[in-house]
Amino acid sequence: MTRLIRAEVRKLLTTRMLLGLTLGGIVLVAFYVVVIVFTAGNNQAGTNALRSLSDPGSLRAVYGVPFEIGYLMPLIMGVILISGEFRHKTITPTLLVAPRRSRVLTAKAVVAAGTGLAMGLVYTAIAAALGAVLIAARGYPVHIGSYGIPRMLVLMVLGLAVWAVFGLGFGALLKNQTAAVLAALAIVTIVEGLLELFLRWAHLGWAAKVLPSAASSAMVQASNVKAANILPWWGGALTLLAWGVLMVVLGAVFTMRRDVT
Amino acid sequence: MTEIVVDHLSKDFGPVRAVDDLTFAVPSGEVTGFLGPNGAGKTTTLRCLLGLIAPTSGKALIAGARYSDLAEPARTVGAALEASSFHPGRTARNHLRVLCAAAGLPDRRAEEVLDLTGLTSDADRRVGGYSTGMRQRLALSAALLGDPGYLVLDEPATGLDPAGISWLRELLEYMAHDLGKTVLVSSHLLAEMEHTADRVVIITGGRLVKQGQLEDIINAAGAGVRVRTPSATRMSEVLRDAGLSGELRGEELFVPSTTAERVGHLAYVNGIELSGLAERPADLEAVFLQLTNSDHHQEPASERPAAVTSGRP
Repeated sequence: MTRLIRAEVRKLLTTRMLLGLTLGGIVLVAFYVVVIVFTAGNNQAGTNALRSLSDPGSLRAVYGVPFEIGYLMPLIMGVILISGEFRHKTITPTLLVAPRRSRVLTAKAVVAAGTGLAMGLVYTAIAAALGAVLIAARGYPVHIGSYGIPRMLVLMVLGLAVWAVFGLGFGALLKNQTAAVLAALAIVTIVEGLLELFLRWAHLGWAAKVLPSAASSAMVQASNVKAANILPWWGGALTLLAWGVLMVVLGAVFTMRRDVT
Repeated sequence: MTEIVVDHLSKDFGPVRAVDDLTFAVPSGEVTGFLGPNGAGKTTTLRCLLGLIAPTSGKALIAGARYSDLAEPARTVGAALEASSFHPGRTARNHLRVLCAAAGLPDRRAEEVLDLTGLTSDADRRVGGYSTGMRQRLALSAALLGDPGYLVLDEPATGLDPAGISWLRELLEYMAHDLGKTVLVSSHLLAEMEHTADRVVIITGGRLVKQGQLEDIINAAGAGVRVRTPSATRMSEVLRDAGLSGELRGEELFVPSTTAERVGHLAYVNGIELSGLAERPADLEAVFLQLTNSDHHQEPASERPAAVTSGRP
């Protein structure tokens, strides 16, 4: 297993995919932090603007940007980690060296989690540092040590690792890289929101709470959702973890058994 | 000693039977050519052998074991299946180093095989910019990485220039004859394999047509006659009426198992002009056409291409 993990790390570090996604994520996170800090409490900007930066919810929104938007990058990375092998047919040499496919997928899950964790550290550090500097610049107290924000920061780092594993499972299921990336993005950004509305309409609110993005939000509770509508932070963490594991298991069962032609 | 065994192997892709009850053996110390037209089921067979495709029935074993049960597959079997199995953004050296890590081999093996296949000076280029021939060399490098006792190569000569083909032939002969390795190499280029293979396994439509020493098979087919004529169509009709088969190859007809006197006489009595007539020993191509067309004489000609291509997955 150590060999396969080393091989997967080498695969990641010898193409430009990881660098591109990480840098893209940094730009995205920084942009969102700037926008949120400078629109918070600014009611002329529109009705969606957050309350003033003295509000704990607004502070969490600033520090929670890695989970609002940054998580898409480890998600895509996880998808490509496996679907890229099918796209470029490198799955053939991979499986020739390691014919036991569940071991290959396990090594990939370990590497996806580790890489997601590293991306999470980078994004969280940037959101925390940039957020604190900008909040202070606007003359508000930084409060990075209060309102459960330290716990949120740690959970985000771990959460991004889980999102990477989730992406891996998703990519294993769909195989087609373009379809898998687009479908993963569509699901977490659009489909889940619609599904959530439908479930609430159908009085299945408990089901809406355990959707991946809802579980993800619950971990940071940074949005303005009423507390009754979301899981406690630990429930969100466990639910997201369960989704990640479920996707990998489904990927292993349905795709990794198929013929590689 | 028999090292690779394919035993009553069958594989269905939906309604299509790509490999049909195929049985053959590959001994060590020889180059075994695995021959058949495109879509005959060669690649499917090799992928079953390498654990990438699950057979519908039967088995394919290497050193008595299924591929997935080999303790160190990369050090036991070197396989090159298709020249496009590379990430275009990764360099050749890095591609090999990934495989070194996965197989638990030292990184210097990557340098050694690059040297062996003549890719060292291009090793730090991204594979996306490689020619087909260079990809073939890289695929071969990957196969040789673990210094395996078995080589399984699918169409390794495709895309190589004449110098590359000659180099490949020498390499395969060295591996089999001097190092005693087991070499199984598929090809649809019969003339090429005739110079390389010691032994051949011929399949078509997923079924075994013939296996044995190349020399025995060619000798058994006997000598034939090459006829050059402006009326090739008419000539083949005459030959067929006389119970002979004439295979049109370019401007020539090859008529196996007969004599120049017989063919010359037939042409004379039917008033066909000949521009060339010579007895030639049979070659692999003639043997192959003779063997794979045996069904053709009982079936309408239009069904033959379908039967030949039906094995494509």
